[in-house]
Amino acid sequence: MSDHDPIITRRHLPSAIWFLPLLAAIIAGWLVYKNYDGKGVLVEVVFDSASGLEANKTKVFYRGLPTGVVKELKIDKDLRRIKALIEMVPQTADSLTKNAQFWLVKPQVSLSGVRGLETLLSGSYISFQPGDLSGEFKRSFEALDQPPPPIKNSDGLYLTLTSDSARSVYQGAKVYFRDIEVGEVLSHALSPDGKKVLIETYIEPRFTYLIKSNTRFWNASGIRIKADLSKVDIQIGSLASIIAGGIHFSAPDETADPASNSQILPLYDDYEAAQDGIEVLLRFPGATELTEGASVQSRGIKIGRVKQVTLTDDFKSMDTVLLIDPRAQDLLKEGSRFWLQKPELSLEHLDQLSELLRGSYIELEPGQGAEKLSFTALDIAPAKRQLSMGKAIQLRTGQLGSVSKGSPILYRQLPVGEVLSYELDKTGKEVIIHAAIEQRYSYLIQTNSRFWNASGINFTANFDGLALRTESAAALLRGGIAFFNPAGNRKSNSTTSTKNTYPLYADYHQASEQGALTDQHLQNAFKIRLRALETGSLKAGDPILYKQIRVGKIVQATLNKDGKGVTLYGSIDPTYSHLINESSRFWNASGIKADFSLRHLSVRTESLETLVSGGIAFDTDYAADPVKPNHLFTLYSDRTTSIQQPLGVQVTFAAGKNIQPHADVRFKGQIIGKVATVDVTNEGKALRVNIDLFRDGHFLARQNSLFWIVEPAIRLSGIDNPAGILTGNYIEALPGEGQATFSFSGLPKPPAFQNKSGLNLTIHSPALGSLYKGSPLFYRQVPVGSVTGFDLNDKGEHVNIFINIKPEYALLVRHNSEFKNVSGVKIDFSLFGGINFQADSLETMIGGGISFTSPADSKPAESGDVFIIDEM
Amino acid sequence: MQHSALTQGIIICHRCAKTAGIQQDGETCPRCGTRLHRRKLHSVAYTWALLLASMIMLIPANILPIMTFKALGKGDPATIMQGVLQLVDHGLLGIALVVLTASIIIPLLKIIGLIILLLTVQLGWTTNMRQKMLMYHFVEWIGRWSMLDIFVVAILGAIVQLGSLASVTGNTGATAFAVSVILTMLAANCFDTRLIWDKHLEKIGYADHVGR
Repeated sequence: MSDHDPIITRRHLPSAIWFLPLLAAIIAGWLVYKNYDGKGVLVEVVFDSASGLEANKTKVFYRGLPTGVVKELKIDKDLRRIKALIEMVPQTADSLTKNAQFWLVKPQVSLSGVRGLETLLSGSYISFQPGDLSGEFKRSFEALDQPPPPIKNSDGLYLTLTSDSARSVYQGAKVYFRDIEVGEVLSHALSPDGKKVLIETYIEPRFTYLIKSNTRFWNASGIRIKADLSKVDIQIGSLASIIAGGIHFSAPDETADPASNSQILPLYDDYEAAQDGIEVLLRFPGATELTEGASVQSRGIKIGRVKQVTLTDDFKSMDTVLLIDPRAQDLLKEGSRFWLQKPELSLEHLDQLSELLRGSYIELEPGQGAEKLSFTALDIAPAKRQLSMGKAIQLRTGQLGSVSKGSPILYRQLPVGEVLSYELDKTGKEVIIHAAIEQRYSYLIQTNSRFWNASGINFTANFDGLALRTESAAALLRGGIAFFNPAGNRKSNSTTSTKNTYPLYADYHQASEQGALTDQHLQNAFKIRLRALETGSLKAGDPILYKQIRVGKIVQATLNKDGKGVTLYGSIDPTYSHLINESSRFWNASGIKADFSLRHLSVRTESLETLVSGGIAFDTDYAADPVKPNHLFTLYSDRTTSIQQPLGVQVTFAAGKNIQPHADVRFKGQIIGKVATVDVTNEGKALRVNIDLFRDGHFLARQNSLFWIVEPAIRLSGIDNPAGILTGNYIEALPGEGQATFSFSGLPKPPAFQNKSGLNLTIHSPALGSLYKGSPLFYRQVPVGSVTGFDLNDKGEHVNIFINIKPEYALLVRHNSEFKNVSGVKIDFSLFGGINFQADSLETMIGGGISFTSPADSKPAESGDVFIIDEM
Repeated sequence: MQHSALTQGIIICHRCAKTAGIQQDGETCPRCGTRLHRRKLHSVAYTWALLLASMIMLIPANILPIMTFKALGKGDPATIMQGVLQLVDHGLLGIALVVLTASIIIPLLKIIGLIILLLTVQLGWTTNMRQKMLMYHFVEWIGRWSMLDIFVVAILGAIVQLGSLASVTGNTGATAFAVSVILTMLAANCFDTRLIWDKHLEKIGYADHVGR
């Protein structure tokens, strides 16, 4: 042990380290307190079943927020109920009053929405509806079987809809506006008297403006198919509403007051029922085929529908209740008339198929007078229906034809109106057709308008492009009336409205007076007249063609007053009128013209149209003076004739000549005419040949003109007129000089002297030898001419041989030329000279000929000179 | 014979373990400058204070949830004991045992052990001193393992953040628990084991050496 007691200094204050446990105690205490401060109040809720409930798991939600959890589940002593001990968050403590409510929410998957999807994983939960804050506190509750109606404490609109049945509108069903979800059904319950279903509906705040105090709601649940003859009506809401049900409502009426909270509005069964309307009582005198829902129309506009059809007690008439659009209220006047309009099966329009399917409807014809809401329908549609718009006209006709109600009135094939009705006039002699022309076309109706029945097919086979003419397909099937306004006498518009009764012509031709009145072109057209012997197949309307192009048409054909011919009136399209001048030739282009000769075969028709139906063609040869309108032209029978413009002359031949009609008349080889007819006259001793001299041959119609018949002749040296062998004889002519004359005597044989071009000479020869007409004339064995004829001189002393030297060789013949007959073969036989065989040519050996020699310088011979052949 | 350094007049620096003569008690260590004492000053008081704080913090650590594990939006905050019971529910007895040991038994054992040691010093018990030394070393060594729970919570809380699919969040209980463990470790550290022997030395005649 130590001697020095240590000085012990004792600290009186505890060490600072002791603050540490104090601090720890404070922190721990605070932590624990804080933890347990969050713990709520325990309440007891009684459930029928514990299914879906789980201790420490099942939560209580209020507005999606966990507000408690089931702590413990206990079963009642009597084993009938489950008691759940629920710990609620402290914030709810104040609201756990008498009317606080608990109910179990189970997952609901429906098309209107998935509710409590989280419960699929987390299990069911308990929903909590707080009670009044001021209410009596309570710690034991009974759970509800189903969600209570939500308390109306959100913004938005709470409405009560009343309906006859809940149908599929259940809690959670949506309220749609234009298929947009705007709210939902909160609950539905029977009204206290059990007569109605009250459907509590909530509209979201942002849509509340849509709901007015007169908004009409209807049940759009499911698919609604309403089918009857008149219609098949399928109403489908949104997919969700099909299955889950839904409520729709009508567009807001801007003028109406906005709906107030808790307002009671009706919920209609369907869209139709919700439609507003003025109820009109209509009594049909007899049973009609009318169904509920049939529409009421006025002038084609649907203004309402049939709401209810009931048979009266005596079964004699039918009462209908119509719902008329309020906007159409003005139509419901004392004078208004109703009738049942049945659809007509018409092939006219396919678009009227809808009308057929729509079925009968009630037509309303507005009237005048005081307002009225109860009517008696007409038995049948009234005969005359006034068009409020447009011009009413009456047409009188003997036969109705196929005109029927609704037949169109056509103007230039454009429908401008329609037949409203028809009736017999009082005498029964005529049918009066009532028609109306649309307002905008009413000016077309003039005092001189001409109407015709355009029904059916107008097969005027005028080959106007195979003119199968109908006014329109509609008119074809349904009948129609067409009209036109004759050109030329258009009057001022003031005359348009005065007259309203017109005759109805049977067809276009009658109406247009054979087309005389029809064409608007007519007044501008260039008019011509054509003189013809007969109309042939020509008739009004046939075309006038120029180079096969239609430039006009025949307007009219009239018989001349003397009955000897016809005058055709034609009109030429103004654009072609310059084609007509004095030189124009017109011919009948109808039919086929075949021109047959050895040289050519030409078949000519103007056009298929004219071939069948006839027509006039013309040609203008050269620029000539223009003609005045109504110039009289001659109509030739065909084109050739028109070119030829024949002049008839008569030539009388002695009998025995063979000449046939259509034989040519020639002048110097050119055809200048044709034999038209050959008559035997003077008891068979003479032939009177009527010749048509063509324009080129008109000069032959003079005194002293010569005509003879040329026959073919076959000689050793050749054939004269070989064509004649096939075509027959022809008439040769030589012009004379003098007065124009049209009757001639034909020569029995060709004149010996023919004045041909070139040098015409006469040779006096003691004998003809083997010369013949046409025998050649040689100069140095070159043929330079021919024998044109021969003749005995008056006394028979010698033969006059007429020769013709071709013009180009004329100078070869001199005044003192020597001619020699070289016909045949000249054989000189002498003992010392041998045989001198001399022939000019083979032709001359057979056919003979004349050769000549000319001295070098001498005066050229002139026509008419005479030479002499001394010896043969 | 049983001797201590003190009986031989030697004290040791707490910091650098340099020996010094007992006459240097209260002076600074010539090597590291730490004040030299025969024994740690106020060891028992410090240990008691820290232990007490630790015990206090252990209360919220056990009654407050340490962790919230939510899978598919489903899950509740759980205390340590609830976690263990959940593991047992899932049949994971081994893990439940580990968690139970690390989180509940060891902290309790540590506290009990330290209390015994402190009482030994204060009441001058001289029995089973060797076992007590072993106990101290065990307490000191095992202390850090109690942080296992905290690691689990910290790691899970950092990793398991899969949104609504699964999420782990730490709760206040974990903090309290961590504080508790740390305090226990500090308490164990403050305790001077030589005090256990001093009584014995006093009894066998070294009281003057042992005196302060």
